[in-house]
Amino acid sequence: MRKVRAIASVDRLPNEVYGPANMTWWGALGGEVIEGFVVLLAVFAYFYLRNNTPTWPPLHTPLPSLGIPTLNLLLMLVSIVPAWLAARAAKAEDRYTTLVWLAVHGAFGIVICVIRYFEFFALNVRWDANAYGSLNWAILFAHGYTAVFDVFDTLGAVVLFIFLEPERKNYVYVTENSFFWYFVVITWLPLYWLLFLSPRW
Amino acid sequence: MVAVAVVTYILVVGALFAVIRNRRYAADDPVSPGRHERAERSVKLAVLVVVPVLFLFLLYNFAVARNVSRMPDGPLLTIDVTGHQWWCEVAYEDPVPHNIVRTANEIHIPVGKTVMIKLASHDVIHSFWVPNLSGKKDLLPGHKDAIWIRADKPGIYRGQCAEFCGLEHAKMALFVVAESAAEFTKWIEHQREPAPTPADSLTAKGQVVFETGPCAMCHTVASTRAAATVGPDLTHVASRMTLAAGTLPNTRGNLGGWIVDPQTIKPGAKMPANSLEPKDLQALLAYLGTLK
Amino acid sequence: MTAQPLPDEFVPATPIDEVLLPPAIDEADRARLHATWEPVIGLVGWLKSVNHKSVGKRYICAALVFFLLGGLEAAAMRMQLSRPENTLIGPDLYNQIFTMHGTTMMFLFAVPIMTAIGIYLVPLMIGTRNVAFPRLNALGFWVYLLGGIFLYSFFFSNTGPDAGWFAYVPLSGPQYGMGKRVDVYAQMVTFTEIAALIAALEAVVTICKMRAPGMTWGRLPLFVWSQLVTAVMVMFAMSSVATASIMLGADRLIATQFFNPAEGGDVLLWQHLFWFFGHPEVYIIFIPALGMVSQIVTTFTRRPVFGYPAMVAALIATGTIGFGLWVHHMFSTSVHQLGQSYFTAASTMISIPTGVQIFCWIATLWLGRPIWRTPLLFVVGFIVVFMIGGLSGVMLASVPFDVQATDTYFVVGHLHYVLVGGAVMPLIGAFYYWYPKVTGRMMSERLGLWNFWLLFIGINVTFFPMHILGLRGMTRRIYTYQEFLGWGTLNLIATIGAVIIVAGMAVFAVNFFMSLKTGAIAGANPWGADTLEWATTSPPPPYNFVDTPVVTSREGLWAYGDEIPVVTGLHTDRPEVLITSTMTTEPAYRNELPTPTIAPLVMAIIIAGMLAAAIVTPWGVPIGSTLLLVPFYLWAWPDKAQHQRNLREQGKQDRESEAA
Repeated sequence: MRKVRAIASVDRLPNEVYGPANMTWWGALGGEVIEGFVVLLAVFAYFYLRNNTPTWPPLHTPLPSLGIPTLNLLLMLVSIVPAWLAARAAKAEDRYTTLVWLAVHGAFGIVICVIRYFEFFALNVRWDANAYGSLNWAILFAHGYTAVFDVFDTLGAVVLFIFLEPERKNYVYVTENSFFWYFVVITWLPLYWLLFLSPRW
Repeated sequence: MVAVAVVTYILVVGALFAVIRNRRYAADDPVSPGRHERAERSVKLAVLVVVPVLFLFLLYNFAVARNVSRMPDGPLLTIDVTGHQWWCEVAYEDPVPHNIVRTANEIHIPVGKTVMIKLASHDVIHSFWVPNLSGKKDLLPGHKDAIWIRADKPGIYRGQCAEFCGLEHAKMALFVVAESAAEFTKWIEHQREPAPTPADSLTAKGQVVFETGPCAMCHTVASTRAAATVGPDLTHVASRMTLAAGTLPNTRGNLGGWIVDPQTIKPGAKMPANSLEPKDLQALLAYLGTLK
Repeated sequence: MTAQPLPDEFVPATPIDEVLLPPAIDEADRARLHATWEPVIGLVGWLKSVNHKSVGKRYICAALVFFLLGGLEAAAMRMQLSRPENTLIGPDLYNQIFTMHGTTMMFLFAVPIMTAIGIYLVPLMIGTRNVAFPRLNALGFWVYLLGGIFLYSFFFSNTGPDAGWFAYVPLSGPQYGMGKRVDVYAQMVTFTEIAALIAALEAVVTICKMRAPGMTWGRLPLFVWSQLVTAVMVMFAMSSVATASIMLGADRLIATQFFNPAEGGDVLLWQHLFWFFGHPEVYIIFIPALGMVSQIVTTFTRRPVFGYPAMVAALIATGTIGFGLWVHHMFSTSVHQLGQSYFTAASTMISIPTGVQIFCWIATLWLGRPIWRTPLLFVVGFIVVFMIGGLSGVMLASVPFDVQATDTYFVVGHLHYVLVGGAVMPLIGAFYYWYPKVTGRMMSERLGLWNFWLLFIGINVTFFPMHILGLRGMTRRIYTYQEFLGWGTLNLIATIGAVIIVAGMAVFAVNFFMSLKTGAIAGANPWGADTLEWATTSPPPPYNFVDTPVVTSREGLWAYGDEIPVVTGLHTDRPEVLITSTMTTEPAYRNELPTPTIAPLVMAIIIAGMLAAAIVTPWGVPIGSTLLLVPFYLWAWPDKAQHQRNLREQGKQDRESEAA
């Protein structure tokens, strides 16, 4: 029988950390990689089919309108602020400030998702009209899904912060929630260009 | 290529067996340091041999691929092959529309001449493959492709659809007949002729059965009232070697069985069963027998 | 050669140490630890379990059941093809059967079983107590199981998919794919891809963040490396098939036009998306098997595998290059010749890293002292069989050769040599190797010998003739062929080989079940192996290790002297694991894992309902997604007692660090 020799004890280690070392960050990152790649593949399909088609949008398909999508783009850029403020308040472990900014973040998210619904119609083409339409709807949907997911997460966090005294794990969760929202907004920038601006050239 | 593969295999598996066979060791035999160096050198050597061999293989590949795909001379003939579930529509292109020959599942070509085959599909993906004449090329809906073939020796070459296309993918074959220039000219000129007029009352009745029965819903016989294009063109059906895309030899009995009950022979084929009065069937078979 | 006789009963070659059993904690604490990690028993407990070993074992059992079903489908095909113009099975059923065979083997057996073995072994091998996200892990399993049941329910009601496992459009599209058959396929892909992605996430995070202190990247066992490479591949490959199958489902259900050439779509888009997944898929199946081979070779030659850095580089290279090969499945389509050349080059070059691995294993066998037990026999069998498949693969990389051989039985022969030789043989060897750890008993060596030889002979007799059949013109996916083609004899031989394979697998099954009751008791480390899973009891306790071992060398257990360094301090009253830093494996923090709950099972059932409903109506997706909120909040809402306790301790810790 070999003997065991304890060389260190970890009982003084914290039970949660902020930043890229915690599990939630890794889970969020994993989700971002997978979702991001799905959207990237849809983008590849977009370029592949665009290459095959002489005119883009195809004949008799109007260009997408710019009004609503641009509004949503601006809202998304602005929404980074409450998300960032919520994360900062969470790191400082200030329950009520975090709650307020989480609620604002959630409100922005809801509005953005609602406008996203109208963005589908701003495409000016049905999903079943042609491949151009199908791909536009697909990319918009795939990205929209990530936004909806984040909104539900945020609302859940809001409820938790209202009813429970948050522990460190919950504050960390808020920071990672914001991290995921940055991904949602940043990935939208090239997609906005692809869907609403690039057909114009 | 096979030779290189076999030699590689023998060397590696041989090394494996050599290593596990020639073992003499005591329970705690330490491995001599020299052995470790030798192992390292052997592995490095093996890799240093494999990489250039693969590289040469690659270059050889590219050379062969380029050689094989280059058409030797301008095509003498262009044939349109359109894949259907589960038969091949064949049309010989010609600048004079009247001379376009339409047939099914059988292609005749002159020996020693380059022939271009344009490939299209009417429904799903099929693949044109006559192993003795060329590699496969898929028939893709929405795409236009072509390959060239050239038969250096006369003969009958069998091909089979090589991309799973549904229920009767297994029974979708075609034949390429390579014959001398004279024979080919005779064949194609004959194929250009319309169907012969019936010579006796039985065949005349057969033509009526054809034109007024279900046959005319799907098939064409040139210069009769049957002009549908859902199924194969039957103007010269009696001159073909097989029926149902290579499934049956073209005999009167097989033709009768095919007409009456195609679903037993090729379940799922788009041709429905046709119940005919025995007299009508006999007349029809007599008529079809004249369509050489 | 002085051959070592293979004994009927297992006799350990060297004395076994029971390592790490002397408790660094007392009996009361140990009991509490046990209760913490296995709190609920009975059927409900079984359903709620989030222990990686329970999830892993049921995953493996489910995958084996699907292996059996896939094998029965293969047997049916071989019976039908044994004679020309056979009338045993008609075209419709045959097309369903070959589709089900491919689908079952690829989606429901091969990837899941490699995943499942990873779920069981990886935490043990890296010295931790569970995977990173235990509830998510359970969800992955249930979704997989329900997906398999979903597929087979439809198959047994004559609605099985019939367009091939690759489901090319337009045959699988709305116009030619009649009924709901292909929708069933597309949804099943969604099920299994969710499960695979979850397992991949688990593997990556667990391996990156939960290794024992001292297990730096250069000391990671090769099996764990193979699981990591595979997991990263899954994250990219499965996303691709998800995109493809959702597009296909959408084309069929809501009239999108992705693949419709008449409206700007392209049939080749499906092929690109599918094969971008499909080629890495086979490496996802193959690379874990390479990891298993490395562990077996290490243990049974008593030395670490020769050339560890080269082995790791080879795994990573294979995984990376594997993503650059996919067009070699499309050489007979209209892809441009220059593009084809690139894929020929990549498809040829990928043989180099695997070749390097084989050379290193041979070198290991030469430098080490081989101990002939069944697992090592399967490794030798793997090299002999796989190499044939690998070489026929390099031949297929050549375009002029490929356009003759593709879509013929040559490819069927090739793919079975690499998959059965390259994945199933190591897998069976791995079963013989790790069965003692999982069950506490040894499998019979004598039956193992029969198992090996029947399989080895059967595989060669079944699949070698197929190369010849392909070169003689026999195309794939045909339910019958004519007499005059002369394919009858070789087909009959292949069928006889299939019968031999069945016999071999029957021996395996007998060995597997019999040894549960009558196998020799294994003890902690019957093989005298070096990796950490052998440092705990067989089967392992629910908490795996009492204390976290500190790894001092690549040679694991073999490097420890008289004393083993461990790290203590994880609580025994709550399920805690140690999180270490990614690059240096220094202890970073203690992560409390969630307790068992029924939420993952409920969620999986709702997902199954949602995907099943989506076959008939697109409203299934939003309605199902909304329903999912219920188990989601159940899952995510903190446990009250745990929450209060954490707040208390956090407060105490904060006050102490302020005072300091």
